[in-house]
Amino acid sequence: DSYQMLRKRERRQVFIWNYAERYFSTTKFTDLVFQQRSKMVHWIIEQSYRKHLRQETMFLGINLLDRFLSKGYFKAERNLQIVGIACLTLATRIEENQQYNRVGQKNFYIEKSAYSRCEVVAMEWMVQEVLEFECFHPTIYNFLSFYLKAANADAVVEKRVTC
Amino acid sequence: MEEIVHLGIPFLTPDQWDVITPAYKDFELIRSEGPRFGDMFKCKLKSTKEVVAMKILTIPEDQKSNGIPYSILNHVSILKTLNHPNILKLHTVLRTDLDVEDVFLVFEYIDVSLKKFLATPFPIDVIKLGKPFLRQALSGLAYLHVQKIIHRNLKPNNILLSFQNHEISKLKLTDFGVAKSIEPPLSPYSINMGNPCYKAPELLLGFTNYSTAVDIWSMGCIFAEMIKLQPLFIGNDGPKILTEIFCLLGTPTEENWPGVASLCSFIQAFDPPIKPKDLAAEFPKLEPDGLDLLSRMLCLCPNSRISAVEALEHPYLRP
Repeated sequence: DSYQMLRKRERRQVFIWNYAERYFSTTKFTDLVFQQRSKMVHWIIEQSYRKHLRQETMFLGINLLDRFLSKGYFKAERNLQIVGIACLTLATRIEENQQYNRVGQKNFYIEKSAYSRCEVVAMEWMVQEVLEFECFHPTIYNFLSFYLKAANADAVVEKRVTC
Repeated sequence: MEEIVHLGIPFLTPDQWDVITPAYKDFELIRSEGPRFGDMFKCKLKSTKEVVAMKILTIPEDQKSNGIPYSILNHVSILKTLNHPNILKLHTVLRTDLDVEDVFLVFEYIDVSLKKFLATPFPIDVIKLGKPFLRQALSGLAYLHVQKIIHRNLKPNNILLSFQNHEISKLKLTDFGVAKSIEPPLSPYSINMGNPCYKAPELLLGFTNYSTAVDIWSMGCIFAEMIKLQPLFIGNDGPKILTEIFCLLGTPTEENWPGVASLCSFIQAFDPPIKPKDLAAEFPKLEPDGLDLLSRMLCLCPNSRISAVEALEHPYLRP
C-alpha cells in the first residue's frame, strides 16, 4: 500500500526519460549539455562520498538535475555546472539533518573553475522556479527498501547495497 | 458571522510592493504574527477580481547567502502536492527579484479561523456544527495521511472556516510550515514543533518514531475544545501538559500501551497509577457516539488510536 502510493507519486513527476534524444533532434547544444550532465553527475557522486552525505541526497540531487534539464538548458558551460551544484546543495538541505542546513562553503571548485556562493544561491531559486517547487520526489533509493524486502535480501546484501 | 478586525494596509517595503502591485490590488492586513511567521493579508487579483490571501515569508538577512531555507522548500513543496477540498489551496508563489528576500504565497481566501470563531460570544451549537466540522476536518486529514504527510501543527488557528446560513460551508486545513512527508526508509523525526497544548503524549514523552496518529490526537483536542469552549489541556510547557493529560485520561500502563515503560522509565513512578476520569461527566453535552469517538481519538497509545479513515466510518459521523 505504501509502495503503491510511492509509485503513484513517482509517476506523477517523472521526467522525460528520453530527453537526451529529444535534445539531439532540436538543438545544436546537445553535446555540451550532455557532456556537462555526466560531468556534474560525477561531481555530485564524488562530493557525496567525500562529505559522507546520505545516499538519498545523492539520488535526489541527480533527480533534480535531470528534471531541470528535461525542462530547459543553458548554452554556457559555466551555468550548466552551477545547476549541478545548486541541485546538490538543494538535495543536501532537503535530506540531511540540521548541521548541513545551509550552503556552508564560500566557493565551489569543479576542475579549474570556481563558483561563488551567491551564484549558487541564485541558481537554487532558478531551479525551484523551473521545477515549480516540487522537489520532494521519490527516487530510486526509496524503492530500494521495497525491492530488498521483495527479494528476501539478507542483512549482508542489504548492507552492501545501502551504504 | 463575525467581523474581521481590520488592521489596515500592510506595511511593505518598496521592493515588496513592486512584486505584487502589478497583479494585485486592495490590500488589507488580516493577521500579523510578527516577522518570523509572516504577515497575512487579503487582496484582489486584478484580472479576475478574485479575493486571495497572501502570506509573506521573509528570509532573514544573515541567512540569505545560505540558499533557500529548508523551511520554505518543505512548506511550498508539500503544499504543491496537495489538492483536496478541505485543504487550503496554494495558487501561486511569487518572490522578489535578484537578491531574494521575500517569498509570497498566494492562497485562496477563507474568512474565519476556528480560533476566532471560538472566541465569539455566541455559544456554538455543537450538536449541529460538531459533526460536519469533524467530518470535513477528518476527510482532509485522511487525505493527508494517505499521501503519507503528517501535519504536526494542528490547532484552532490553522483551521479555517467559512459559513453559509449558519452552517459550515467550507473547512480548510492550513499552515503546512512544519508538515513532514514520511518516506521509507524512515528516520527519526524532530519532536520540537507545534503548540504543546495539542501535542500527542508520545511526542511529549520524546518518542521520535511517531506517525500520523499525532494529528488525530490534535484533532481530538480541538474537537473537545469546541465542546468545552476552552482548550482541553492548558499549559505552556510539555511536562505541564503531560500532567494534565494523565489527570484526565490516567497514566499509561503496559496493558493499554505496550512498551511504554521500557521507553519511558518515569511512568512507573506513578504508583498507584492515576485512574482515568469519566469522559461523559466531563462532556455532558456530547451524545454517547460522540463520546466514544472522542475517547478513541484521545487514546494514549498511538498504535490503538483511531485513524482518520476509521474515524470517518464511526457511527457518530455517519450521515
